[in-house]
Amino acid sequence: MNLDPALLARIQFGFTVSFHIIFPTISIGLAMFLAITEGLWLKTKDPLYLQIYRFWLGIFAMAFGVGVVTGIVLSFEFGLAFAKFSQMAGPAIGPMIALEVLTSFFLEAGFLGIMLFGLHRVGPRLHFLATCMVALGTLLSASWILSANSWMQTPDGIEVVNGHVVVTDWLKVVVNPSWLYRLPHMLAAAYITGSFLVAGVGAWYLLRGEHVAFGRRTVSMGTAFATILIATQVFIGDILYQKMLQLQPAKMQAAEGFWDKQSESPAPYYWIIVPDQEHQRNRFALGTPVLGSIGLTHSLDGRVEGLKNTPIDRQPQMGWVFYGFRVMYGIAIIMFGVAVASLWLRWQRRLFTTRWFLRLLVVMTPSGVLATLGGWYLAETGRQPWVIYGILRTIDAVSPVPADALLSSLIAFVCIYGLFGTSFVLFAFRIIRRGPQDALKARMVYAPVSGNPVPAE
Amino acid sequence: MIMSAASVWRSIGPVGATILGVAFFFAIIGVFGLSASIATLVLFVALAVFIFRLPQDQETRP
Repeated sequence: MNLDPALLARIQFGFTVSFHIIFPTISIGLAMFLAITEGLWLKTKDPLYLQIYRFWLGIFAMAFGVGVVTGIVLSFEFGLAFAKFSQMAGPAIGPMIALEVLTSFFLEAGFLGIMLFGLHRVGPRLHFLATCMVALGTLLSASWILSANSWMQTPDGIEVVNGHVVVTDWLKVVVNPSWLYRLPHMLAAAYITGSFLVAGVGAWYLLRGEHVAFGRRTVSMGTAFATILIATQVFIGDILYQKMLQLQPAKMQAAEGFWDKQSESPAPYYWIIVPDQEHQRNRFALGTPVLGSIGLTHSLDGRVEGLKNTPIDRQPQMGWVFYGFRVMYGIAIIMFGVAVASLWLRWQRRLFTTRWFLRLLVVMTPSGVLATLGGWYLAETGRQPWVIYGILRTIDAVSPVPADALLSSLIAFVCIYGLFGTSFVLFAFRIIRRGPQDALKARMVYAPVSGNPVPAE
Repeated sequence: MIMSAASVWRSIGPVGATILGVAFFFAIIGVFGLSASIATLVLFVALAVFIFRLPQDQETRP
């Protein structure tokens, strides 16, 4: 059997980065949630906040660990599987990855130990500072990675000289045309992921009648954060969409499932399509009439541009882009609906007492992760066939590595990551099943440097 | 069967909230322009913060 090394390299990177992105998304979201919760504890002295903090700290630590380990693998893959990309783009990408290490990793490394193990050893204010610094570190990490990835999407501030990228303006490389729009979109996605995770676990406790005070507080906090964040995210997402229409029209043409240069008027909004890339048409399409014009052109009769506007050799594969977008957008609409429902139930004072809604929150627990994965599939498959948009094709970036070496390492990654993923899920469920510690015990955590536990109040 | 006033309200309420939610959604995604979407987002957040402050019943019901 003849295996294509380029395809294997892409599958391997796609698999490892898909697995990786789950964990930073969770840890960025939970880090901010933990900082807010600990801040509320310090302000109110309500031991329930400390109980919530201690409970989620364990799950955060696991997500953080898996995220770091699987992230390191990616930088090695750049060199091993995409050496020509590293060779060409190293002068631009390398410093940004290095700056991520210097700013966020060093910050996190300095304070993570205090955050995880310092509850008994340092004072509450220093511990709160450590939590805030770790949350800031995760935010900085996301900023640098988004900057590097956005530069690959919309490269700027460089010249290509003899096949190598030469940076002419660092500010334009870092603050490239899409970064300012994609960064808040990704951060909001991570915070929404954390919010639904927290609300879902709280709802599970309420349905079981266990840890009821903990469940009520986390459902309240999770749905409150999610409500504000998802509305903001929809707003940010629409602005990003309009920007990407200018910067990467082929991606957005593929994302909407239209082939003809101009769609009919009014344009439908497609929910399901079966694209036929070879014949540049859809074999099947199911959509809502007029909604495409309203949502995409903000008019009742606007036309939408299709993928035939892009030459065939520069087109992304429509199926991946379309369904990546639909998964992200579809889940976002459901999240918005859940947010509105939570507002209605709060208004009715039935937020903690309506079982169907609590069940819905449990189902929505992983929704942020799934939406984030959909969004990244949209971003990455929509950039194809380029690895650096308009400059370097993915096929030209692959290392001359034998297919069997790539296949064997791919199998190894699937096995090892399967073990990682299973362990994470099992341990997370164990923590959740065991439940939060007793609130009264949670009050006895902060201590002076002498190490003797004292009540927090 | 004649529905009681309470059950009518219970039926109308979620429908009204859904319609309001859809209106908010379309406004926030910029259908009526950027300035309208910013104003709608601010209104949505202000309404949400107001509602967050309401106390909740404590007993779960089906």
